[in-house]
Amino acid sequence: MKKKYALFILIISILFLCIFFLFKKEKQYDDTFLYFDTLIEVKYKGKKDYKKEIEELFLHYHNLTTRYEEYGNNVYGILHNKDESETLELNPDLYEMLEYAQSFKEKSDGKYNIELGCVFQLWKDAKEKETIPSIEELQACENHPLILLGNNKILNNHPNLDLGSFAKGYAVQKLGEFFQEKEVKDYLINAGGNVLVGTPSNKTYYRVGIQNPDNSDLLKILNVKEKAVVTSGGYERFYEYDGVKYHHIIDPGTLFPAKTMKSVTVIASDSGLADILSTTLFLMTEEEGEKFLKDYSDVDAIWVTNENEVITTKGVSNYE
Amino acid sequence: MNKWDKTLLGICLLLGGILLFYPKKGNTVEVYRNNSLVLSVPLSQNQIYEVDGKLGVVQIVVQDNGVMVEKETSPKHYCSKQGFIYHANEMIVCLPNELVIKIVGNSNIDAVVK
Repeated sequence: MKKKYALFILIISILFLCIFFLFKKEKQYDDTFLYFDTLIEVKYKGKKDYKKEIEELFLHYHNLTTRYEEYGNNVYGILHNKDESETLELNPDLYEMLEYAQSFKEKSDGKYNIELGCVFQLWKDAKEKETIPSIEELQACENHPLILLGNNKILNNHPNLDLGSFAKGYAVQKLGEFFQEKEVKDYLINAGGNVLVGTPSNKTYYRVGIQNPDNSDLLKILNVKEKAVVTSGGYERFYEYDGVKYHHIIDPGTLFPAKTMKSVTVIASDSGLADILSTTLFLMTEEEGEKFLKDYSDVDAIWVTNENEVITTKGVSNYE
Repeated sequence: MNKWDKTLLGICLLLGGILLFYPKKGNTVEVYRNNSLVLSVPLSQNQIYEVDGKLGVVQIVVQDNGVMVEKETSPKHYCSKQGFIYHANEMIVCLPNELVIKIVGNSNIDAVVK
């Protein structure tokens, strides 16, 4: 009789242990990373610590897209390629990025352009020296087009690429996809104005504030889940020369910083897409932008024009 | 209404009053070096502070309910490039100097885009 009793207790304990391991409590992880010249906060609830994997993912995309470090067949490699072969074979992940970004050049009538690396570099150098580049210098830039040939190959015509306008958003999207794959549902990734969220476990929505370009207040607070919210603005990263402010978003038409908007915020399901669209809309008038957005049904935008007019697409009210 | 009812009502009103007029704690700027708190100051008070980082002095400016790094001893000036932060849950991280500056307080905002 006693033996039976002991067996019963044993079975019950094993059962409890099984249940314990099956429903192991999810832990909250808060990590910060420094890539793409940006502080990236990653918060998630999961059963496992993914710090190492996240670090690897950011480092991979950072190294592929940065212009300054040597890392095999990355953007730096394209810029400094001296060999005269007809084609160049790229890292497949970089090729995929270029293909994605390049598809927006045509769609945006050339407003979104990653081939202006030389122009962007002149502006970056000018900022360091607190001066501005001359229009002659800017026009002298040879902006060789990026020609994609398939099978990870591009034409070796020395294109000067700058992926700064979407590398961060693209990497954040890849991390979101990693979390989905690992069944981590509750996450928030904040890469300096480039936010991607999953579904919060303790409330219905994440609340994402949009900074007012003119003061310390918030322009709006959005209730979102499984969305990316990205702002492009000229009011944070700028410098002054001769009493004029110059920011970092260059209009391919004028080769000077764009002048119509103070900030544009895009809400979309894909963080890479949101990053590209916020830059593109920043370079357009509001009318052009609204027309352009017609092709993107689940994308919404908030414009703050230079005249301080706040314009939103109809769908924005769903998030307020 | 008997004596006890009145007492109870009185206590409720008193408690309500205390809760209503209890001074709301404003947001605080906290600076950490290697995860240990080195500075904790109110966000509402305009002032300039200096904190020792790993590479040298880091100058932190609290102004108009915001905080930023004005000067720093570091190769790429990542910290001052991050500009002002204004809201609880926002932070500035200065990796070369091993400093984290954050605003602590009540916030119903999870992230701010700018």
